[in-house]
Amino acid sequence: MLKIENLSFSYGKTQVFKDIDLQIDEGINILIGPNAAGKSTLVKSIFGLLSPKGHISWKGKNLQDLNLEDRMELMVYIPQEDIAGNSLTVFETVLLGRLSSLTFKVQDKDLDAVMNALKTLRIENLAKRRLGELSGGQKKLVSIAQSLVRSPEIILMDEPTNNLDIQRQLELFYVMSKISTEKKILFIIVMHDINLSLKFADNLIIMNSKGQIEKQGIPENIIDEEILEEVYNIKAKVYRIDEKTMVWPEKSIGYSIKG
Amino acid sequence: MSNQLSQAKDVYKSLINKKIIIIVTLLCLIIITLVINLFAGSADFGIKETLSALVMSGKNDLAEFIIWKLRMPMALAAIVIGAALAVAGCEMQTILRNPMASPYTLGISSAASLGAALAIVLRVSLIPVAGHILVTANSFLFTVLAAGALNIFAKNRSASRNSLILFGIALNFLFSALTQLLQYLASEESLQTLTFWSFGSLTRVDWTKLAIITGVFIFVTVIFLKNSWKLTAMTTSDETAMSLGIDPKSLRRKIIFLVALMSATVVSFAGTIGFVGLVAPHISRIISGEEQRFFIIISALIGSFLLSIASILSKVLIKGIILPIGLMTSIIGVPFFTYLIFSGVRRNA
Repeated sequence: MLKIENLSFSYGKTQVFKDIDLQIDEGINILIGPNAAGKSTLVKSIFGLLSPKGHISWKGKNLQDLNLEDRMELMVYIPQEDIAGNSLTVFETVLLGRLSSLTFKVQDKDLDAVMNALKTLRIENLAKRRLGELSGGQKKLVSIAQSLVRSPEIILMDEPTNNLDIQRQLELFYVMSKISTEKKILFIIVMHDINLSLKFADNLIIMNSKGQIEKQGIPENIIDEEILEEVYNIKAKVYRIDEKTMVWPEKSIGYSIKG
Repeated sequence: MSNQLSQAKDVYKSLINKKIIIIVTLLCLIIITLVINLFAGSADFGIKETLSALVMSGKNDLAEFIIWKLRMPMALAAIVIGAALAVAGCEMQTILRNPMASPYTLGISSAASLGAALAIVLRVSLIPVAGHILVTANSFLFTVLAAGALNIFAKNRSASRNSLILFGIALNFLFSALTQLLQYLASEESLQTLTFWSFGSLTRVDWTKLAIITGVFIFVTVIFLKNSWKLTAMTTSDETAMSLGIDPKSLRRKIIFLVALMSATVVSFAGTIGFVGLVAPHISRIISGEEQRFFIIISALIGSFLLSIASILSKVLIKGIILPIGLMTSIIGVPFFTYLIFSGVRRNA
C-alpha cells in the first residue's frame, strides 16, 4: 500500500497542494481534477522529482529515505511528452530502462528483460525500428516497455492517452489493466478524460482546484452530479448503464453557453 | 538458452553487426587515406623511395626527414584531430540536444582566438612562458576560462539547454569583438600571423604536440565511452533522463568541461578547423543512430576520414603549396553534406 500523509508542496509562494492524505492499493488508480489542481505535481512528488513536505511510504518503507537508485528500482515515472531520441531503435530505447545495471558489453539478463517487455506489450515486431518512425501510440507503448524492464512495483504516468485516437486509448488501457493484474503493479495515472477514467479505474481519486483530495473510491460510488459541479464547475448528467457510469456534460457554470 | 533470450540476441546482434561493419569499413578507408597522405606532398618521391624512407633504411636522408618529421605527424594529426573534433561535436549535440551544435558552439574557438590574438598582437600572456608556446598556452588558457564561465552559468538553477546556447552565442560575440578590436590595433606583421593562426592548419603539429593531443583525446573519449549509456539516455529528454536516474544538469556540466578541454587542446595547437565537428556526428547519426557506444566511435572514425581527405587535398590541389586545412574541410564538406541532407538517406536526426 502507498501511504501519503500530510503532504504539502509549494512553488515559491504558490501553494500547489496542502495536507494531502491518501492510501492507494495495487491496480489502476486514476487521478482526475481540473487544470492546475496539482495532479502532475503530486505524481512528480511521489516519484521524487520534487521534494514536498510530509510523508510518503510504500509497504511501510519511507520513500523519502531511499536514495535515488533504490527509488528507481521501485518505481517508474512516464512523463506526458512522447519519448524523444528519434534515431534510437525501439530495442535500444527499451534497453535504456536497465540503465542502472547496463555495462559497456550488454549482458544476457538485460537483453532477456528487453525481449520480455516487448513481448508483454506485443511490440517485438517493432524492435529494430527507429523511434522517429513510430506513431504516438507506439511510442507510448515503448515508454511502458522501457519501464517494465525495471520490474517496478509502482508506475506513475502523466496523461498517457494524449494525442492517441480512441482505439489506441483503449488498447493502452487494456494493456495496463492486464499488466497491473499479472505483475501486481500499482499504477497512478493522471487523466483528463472522465469517461475513460470511469471505464478503467479500479480506484478514482478526484482533486479539486484548491489542491485537496475531494474524494477517492470506486468510480461508480463517488461520481455524481454534485461532485462534478463542485470540482469542475460544470452541469453534467451521470448515467448508469450495465454497472458502468457515464458522464454527459451539459454546460459550464462559469460561462453561459447558448444552445 | 530460452527461446526469448535467443530471440533477443538475434535482434541485438543484427543491430550491432551493421554498426561493426561500418566501423571496419571506415578503418580500412582511414588506413588507405593515411597511406595516400604519406605519398602526397610537394617533394615527389616514388613508391620505392617512400617505402624505404618509411622503414628508415638510411638510403635517403632527405626523404626520411620529410616522411618522418613532416608528413607522418601531419597525417596522423589529421586522424587524431578529426576524431577529437568529431567526438567533441557529437557530445555537444547530445547534451544540448541540438543537431546544429558543434565543439565551437559555446564560444570555445573564439575564446582560443582571443587568447592567441592577445599573445600575438600585444604579447600579453596570463602565464609567464616565452617563445612560440606563448600563443598556444594563452589560447588554451582563454578557452579554459570560457569553459569556466559556462560552467558557472550552467550551475544556475534556471539554466536550460537553450539559455546555455544563448549564453554561448553571447560569449562568442564578445570574444570575436575583442579579437577584432585587437586586429584593428595590430601591426601589419602581427595581423598576418594572427590571420594565419586562425585559419587552422596541421603544419604546426609536430610529434610532441601530436602526443599531447592524442593523450587528451584518449582520456576524454574513454570517459565518454564509460558513460555511453547515460549519454544515450541524454538523447531522449531531461525528464526521461531524470526518470532513468540521471541528473542531467550535472552530467551536462561535466561533459561541457571535457569537450572544452579537448577542443581547447586542438584549437590551441592547430587553430580553428571547422565543419568536421558538426558534420561527422551528423553522418554518424544518419548511418548508425545515437546509441552512444557506437555513435562516439563511428563519429570519431568519420571525423578522421574527413580530415585525412581534407589533408590530402590541401597538399595536392595547388602544387607546392599546403593550403590551410580549415578551409578545405568546409569547401569539400559542404557539397557532401548538402547531398546527404537532400538525398534519400533516411533522416532521423
